[in-house]
Amino acid sequence: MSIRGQNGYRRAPAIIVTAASLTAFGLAGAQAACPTVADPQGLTGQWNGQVEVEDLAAKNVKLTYTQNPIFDKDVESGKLPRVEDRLPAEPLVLLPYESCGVYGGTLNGVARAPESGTSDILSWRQVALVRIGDDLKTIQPNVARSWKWADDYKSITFELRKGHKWSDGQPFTADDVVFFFEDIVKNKEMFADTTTEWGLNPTAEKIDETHVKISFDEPFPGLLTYMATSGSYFTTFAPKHHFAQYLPKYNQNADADAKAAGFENWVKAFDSYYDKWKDAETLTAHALTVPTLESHIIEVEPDTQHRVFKANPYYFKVDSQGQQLPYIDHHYERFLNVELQMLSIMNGEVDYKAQGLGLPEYPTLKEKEASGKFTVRMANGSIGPAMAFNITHNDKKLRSVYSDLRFRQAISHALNRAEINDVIYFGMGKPSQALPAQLSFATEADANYMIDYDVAKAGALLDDMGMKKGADGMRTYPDGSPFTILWEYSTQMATPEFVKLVSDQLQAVGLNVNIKELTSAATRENAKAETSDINMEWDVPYEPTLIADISLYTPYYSEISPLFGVKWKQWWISNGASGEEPSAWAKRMFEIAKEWKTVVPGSDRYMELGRELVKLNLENMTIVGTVGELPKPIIVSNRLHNVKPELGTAHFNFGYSYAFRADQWYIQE
Amino acid sequence: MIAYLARRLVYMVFTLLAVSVVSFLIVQSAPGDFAEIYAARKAAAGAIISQAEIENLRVSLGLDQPWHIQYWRWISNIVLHNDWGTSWEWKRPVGEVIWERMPLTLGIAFSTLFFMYAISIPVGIYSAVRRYSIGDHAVSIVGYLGLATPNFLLALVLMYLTQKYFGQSVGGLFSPKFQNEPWSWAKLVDLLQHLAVPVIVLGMSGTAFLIRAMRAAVLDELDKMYVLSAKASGLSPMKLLVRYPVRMALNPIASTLGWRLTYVISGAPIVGYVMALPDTGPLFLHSLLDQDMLLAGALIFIYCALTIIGTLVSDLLLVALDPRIRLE
Repeated sequence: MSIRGQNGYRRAPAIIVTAASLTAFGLAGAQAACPTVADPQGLTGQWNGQVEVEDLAAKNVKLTYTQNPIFDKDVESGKLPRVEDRLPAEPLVLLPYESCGVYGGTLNGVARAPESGTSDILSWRQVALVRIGDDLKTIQPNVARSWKWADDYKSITFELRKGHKWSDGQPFTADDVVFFFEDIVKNKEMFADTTTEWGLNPTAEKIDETHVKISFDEPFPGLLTYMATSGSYFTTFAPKHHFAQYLPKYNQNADADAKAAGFENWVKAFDSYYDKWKDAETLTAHALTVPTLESHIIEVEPDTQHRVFKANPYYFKVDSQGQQLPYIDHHYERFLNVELQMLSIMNGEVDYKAQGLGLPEYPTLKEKEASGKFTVRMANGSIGPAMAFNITHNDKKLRSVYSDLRFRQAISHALNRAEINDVIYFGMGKPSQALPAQLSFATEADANYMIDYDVAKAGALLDDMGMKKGADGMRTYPDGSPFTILWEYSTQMATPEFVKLVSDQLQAVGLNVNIKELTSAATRENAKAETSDINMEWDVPYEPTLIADISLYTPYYSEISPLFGVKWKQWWISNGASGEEPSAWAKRMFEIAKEWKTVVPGSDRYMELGRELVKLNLENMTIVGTVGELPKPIIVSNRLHNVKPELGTAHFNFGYSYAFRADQWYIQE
Repeated sequence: MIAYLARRLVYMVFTLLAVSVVSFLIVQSAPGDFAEIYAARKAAAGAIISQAEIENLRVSLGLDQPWHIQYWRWISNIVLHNDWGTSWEWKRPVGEVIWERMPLTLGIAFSTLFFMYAISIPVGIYSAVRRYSIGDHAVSIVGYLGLATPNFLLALVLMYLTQKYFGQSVGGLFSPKFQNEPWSWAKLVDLLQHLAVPVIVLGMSGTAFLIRAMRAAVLDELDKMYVLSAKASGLSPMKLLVRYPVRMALNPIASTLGWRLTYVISGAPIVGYVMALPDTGPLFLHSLLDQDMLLAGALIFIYCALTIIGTLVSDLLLVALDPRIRLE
């Protein structure tokens, strides 16, 4: 486990360079050599795939910076400063995966609409203070050069890059981070209920131009993990020199200006200009005026068909040869309906796509690889549908059955997971119990817990409960009255084929199942009211997300669509004043969740708590799993280079391709 | 005539108002609301959305208010300030979003109307005059096929063919390389190539229907006594045909213009969606699915307005064509 908080500035040059590699690097000359991830030629630092200027200095390497030729004209005419003046004094140096690239080209992507398939494309250009390494575990520097936690994990100090500039050439400093926390996140007029994702009551304080300290009321060691993964879509800084004009605090005419521009008040105006989802901020003509640190900036006024982005002349990274990144001139994002997206992929009009593709599309995509000039990469990925029986059902009689552990264990044994895997997933997954995917603190045995298909065992457990088979061969309540499971599902959670297959398997052990398809809005309503028998909306099964929000693995598992235990949670939050007293194991889970927020990810205590939580969930069969380790197809155009050879999970929770460093991709036909 | 027009215009305003209430109610009556659907979409993408965020969104969009208050705010802003509100999904003014696509929508609709009439009137006359000839039978078979084929299926087939044999890019009205180019001859040709398929698809069944109607109407007239007497008095066949039977036969064609326009406009969303045309069709469907109320309401409103205007135009045309029609 290498998710670790960073103690102490990473100043000490911990680089060990062999004499041989140093010579090789030196002999080749600064411009010709191109250390890569595959062949670092001795150029390594603390982090994988990237080095800082002091790492270069330690090797006596001096990079000469060069730029994308599209900027040449503007530099000649004086519209843009020279590249060495645009880059920070301390640019981040990336080692490309394969080779130092060539400039040019357009990276084509496709999505349904803004915020509907666009996270993937946003991740090509996004930046945050820190980044998740391509092992999807290590937290690495990005915009920030380094960080230092306070011993109690209640505050953290980030070091920014000297001379870092926004895309309009204005300096990016600690003020921009302070502005984000103090003037946006904590602005009660904008957010009545301060968003809790940045920890309890964050306070940002400028130490000097390049140092900023963020403090919290409680320890928040999971902060970096959150910022580097699913939090990477909302950056923890905002261009103060641009947005201050819309706030009354800095501009006393802000409200009048907003009204003149046709808004109700300054809040509405600010809301329309600023969005924490960086994707939603680039939807209007106003976006053309908003400076950014991202690798590409919006170029033409966006419309309902497409968005076009061009390389940011002030981007803060160079490759190991000194070429300013990004290599790719333009990002082109097209909005198409889902059916046409497939056609356009097959037509070779899409360079990269991970979001929205799944195993059902795999055969078609594989067949069209040659004609579409792309390669289908199968990244390890998601887990299949899981079902949670409503242990706290409103109906007393149903609750007596669902809250019986034997019943839930019987269900687990009644499932023929191999059949589900073969029929629904082409046999490409792996039968598994319900577990968050790729947990550092879970074992193979956890994944295999009670997944053996054993109809006799299932029958024995049900018999033991007193649910005997009636004359028609179907099981009844222990009191002999007819028993039926009403399975309300939405297609967002499972396909009708899946539901039919599983309910046939349940019928085979004598359980009556009625299937009913509802909209996800309706299943959520029923889940919140605790009137549904089976709930399936168990999101977010990855470790980084759990670090930021462990409540996804304790009752009621999802705020907008609970699995069970709504009243238990109420009881816990209200200290017993309302709701219902949880079972002993659920209480223990709540206690673990409370302590979890204060432990350092990867520490011994973290692993202990994680293990206990896994155990509690499994032993109480809170969620019945079906299939895990489902690979997910990713489309990579054959003309796209420097794509990591083995792509890991491309998922919202890891910031899609953010970890795979799209800023060093390049295009060569 | 003026009184008639004035009366019709007043009726139109009332019809539009009634339509606006109904359309608002229809969009409202679907389960869930924009906030709910936004959350679902985010959740489907893997993001964690809290209940508080949903509530915040609901309050800021005014979705927590009862429907008649929401309706009043919507309609009064339109009538009093010509302010159509902001599309929640696109985060831009509704007017701007629609206007971006309206020219093409109207372009496609009127090209289709033109295509329908330009083909169906001469072909209909031909097959009436040459009744039971090989040409008439051929036209009839093609016509019935056209009537029987669903729009979207034809769209898919034609799209597949143009993509496979002409290498055209999928969907949209421009190839990607022309999308952001300034207007040029090559871009115009590219546009016309892409426009052909939707126009044929949209016009196909309408054309087939109009050919049948035209043929029947001309046939009715051809057997009448006045045609016989005109023939007997030595009028040249072409002159006779155009001046008398055809003019009479145009009557039913003109009177259905209103429906035709409606038909093209209402067929457009399906075809537009299937072919990803940058017209208002896909926009309309998405706005309904996402319950982007202001955008959906505005689009329904515009579609209805176009239909009502189409009906008015066809009534006026009829008056012009047929002197027997009285305005009372």
